[in-house]
Amino acid sequence: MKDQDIIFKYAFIDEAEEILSSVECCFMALEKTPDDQAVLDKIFRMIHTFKGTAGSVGFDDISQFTHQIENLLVGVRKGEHKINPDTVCFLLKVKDQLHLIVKELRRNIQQRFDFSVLTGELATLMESLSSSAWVRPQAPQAEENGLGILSHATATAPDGFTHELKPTEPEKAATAVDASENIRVNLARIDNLVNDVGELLLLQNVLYENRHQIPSVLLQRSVVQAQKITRKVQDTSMGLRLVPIKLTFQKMQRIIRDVAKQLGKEIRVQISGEETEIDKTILDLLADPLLHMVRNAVDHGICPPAERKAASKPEIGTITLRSYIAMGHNVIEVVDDGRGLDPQKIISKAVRLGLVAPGTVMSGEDAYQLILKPGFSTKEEVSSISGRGVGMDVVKTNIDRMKGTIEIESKIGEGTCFRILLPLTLAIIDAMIVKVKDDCYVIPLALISETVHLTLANINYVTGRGCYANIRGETIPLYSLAGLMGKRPGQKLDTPVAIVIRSAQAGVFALLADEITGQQQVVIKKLGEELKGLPGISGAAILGDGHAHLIIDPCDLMQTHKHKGIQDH
Amino acid sequence: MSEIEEKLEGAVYKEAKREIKEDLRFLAFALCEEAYAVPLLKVREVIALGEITPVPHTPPHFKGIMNLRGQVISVIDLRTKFNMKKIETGSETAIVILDLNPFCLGIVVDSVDSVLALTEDQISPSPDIESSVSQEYITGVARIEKKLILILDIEKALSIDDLAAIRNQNTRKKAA
Repeated sequence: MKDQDIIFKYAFIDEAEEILSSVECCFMALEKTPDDQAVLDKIFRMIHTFKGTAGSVGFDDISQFTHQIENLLVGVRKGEHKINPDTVCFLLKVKDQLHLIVKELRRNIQQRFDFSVLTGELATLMESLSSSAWVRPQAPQAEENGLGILSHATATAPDGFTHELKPTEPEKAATAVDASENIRVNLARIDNLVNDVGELLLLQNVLYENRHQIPSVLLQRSVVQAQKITRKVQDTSMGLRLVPIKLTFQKMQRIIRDVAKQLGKEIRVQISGEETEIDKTILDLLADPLLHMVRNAVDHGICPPAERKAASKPEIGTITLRSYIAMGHNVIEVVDDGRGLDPQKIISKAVRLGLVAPGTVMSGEDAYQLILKPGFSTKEEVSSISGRGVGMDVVKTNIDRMKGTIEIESKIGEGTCFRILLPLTLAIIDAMIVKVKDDCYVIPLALISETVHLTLANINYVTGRGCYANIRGETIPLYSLAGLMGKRPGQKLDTPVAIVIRSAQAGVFALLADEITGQQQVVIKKLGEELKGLPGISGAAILGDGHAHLIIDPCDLMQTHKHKGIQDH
Repeated sequence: MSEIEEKLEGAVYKEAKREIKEDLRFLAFALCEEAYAVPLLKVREVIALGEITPVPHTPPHFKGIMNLRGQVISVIDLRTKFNMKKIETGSETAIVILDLNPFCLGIVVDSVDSVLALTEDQISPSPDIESSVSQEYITGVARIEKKLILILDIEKALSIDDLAAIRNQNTRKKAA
């Protein structure tokens, strides 16, 4: 095989993935409005492109199979077949299979596939369609063409189709323009650019802050000008990593549809804010939690139609997927109009599971958070969809990893809203620089509740339990940052600083540092593979001195420390 | 199949692959008065010893991290790793940055000596000689003007298991 051919083949795989994900939502649209000619035309164009490209790069098996699907669609377009739920199910199945095939091809481009099962199913489907909605007598001929004499059909098809496609040509041009506005760029390149721009920004800051030392007015002005442009470049480069959440929402829509079908529920999906842009890495991490959330919403949230009717609600349930930006956060909501969460039920279940002590009194919100604990499931029976108590745990873990939070609002009988709040970007953070002996550490400002200068009188030592700080009458466990960072504590200072952290995961505690040297924006640098999983360290940042410094994740540091403490005893 | 696979690697890698097979150029450096060499193609650059920030809960040979023009790179001290005696940092002390996919690491060396272009007959398989480095890390020995240069299997010397040990050590190490 020539190199050229391989490049074309990989290009096809890229394109195929794109086509398959957009064709999926068209299929689902078709399910809602089977007569929508515009959707049908769109599907037709995409399948046609898919077939054509597959054939031209040498995937004859794929091309031939898609041709048969095209035949089915021709029938639909001509009004010979009617779209019914079975057709859509089949089309979605075909799409899933093709997706798998494309994935497989990416792994091994030499792979060939057997479409006989799908072809068989297609034949049965066509038959059932033809017996119910056949109009013209000459049509069976066309069907036979599609299924039987493949090579002939493939050879003659293009002429027929170019003719048919003509009326929709203007629209096609419009989509072509849309496509040309995007180019594919390797994510690593963008990361490099973002990194470099971060560095540029640091250097520029030094120039800007010291511009008064420059004697020439012209140069001074240039520095100010360059400052503005650098900021702009930074904004743009940060924006490069952003992708709309649309595709993820579409996937969820499909999952909701499938799960609902499986459970015999009818659910309408509402999507808003699908154009909201989210960092690509965050979006990838978001896929799993969202999956569990929508599955839960369908399975636990929405009741079966009969139950809904009894509660005088519309039989068709609604799940809303919403995304927007508010208060410096990306907000993603999954809302259902189902039965809602019952705090009492959750608490009693948690008591039974031993997650909370019997007789515990807690607010509704605290009770809701219990469902995020590992092993928690209010469903009595375990099904393939949910009930194992693993799902929401995954949600919590992944969202913690993204430094996000999850809020749950619910009203019994009215529905539940799961709200994920994510920081806008992970690459640049506001941070506090603290000094311990000769080392500087970076702590994300978002995690710090307050900083307090302590006097020795405020620090109490309890044998066997460590230090406590007395801050305005509150007793807070105090840990020496030097100690946590594996250093011997230096000589005691008269006025050390306590950095108070109030977190959901690690509770309230304070870190003892020598002094706070500053507060600034830092660019988070990833540590090498070899340092992955180092507890308490979330990355590195290059500070004004030009050296790399560690970014501390106080909560993680704390938890590892506690964990080790337990092991030691 | 192998032929296809090779082609599948793409034009980019093909070039590099052929070179690796044929390229017998090495970067020679000194570790504690012994001469070592690593394949030149694995070397990204050589820089002067800069400020290194120590990372807690890592083994002693893990020196820390440093800023290489905006990239944060881990630096490893092979002398500690190989249990050599400590040598004072001098003006010739340098860091060799290695590109070992997926790792990019720096190693501290006492001095960088030369780039050697060797022929195959100049390299003999690792004999039983006395060196501070365990035999398994040495792929061969080059004899140049009566001087012995040990060719390091640098990936093995900095093996992934070894790097994973950094992680394991964390879980074992008692909290201070």
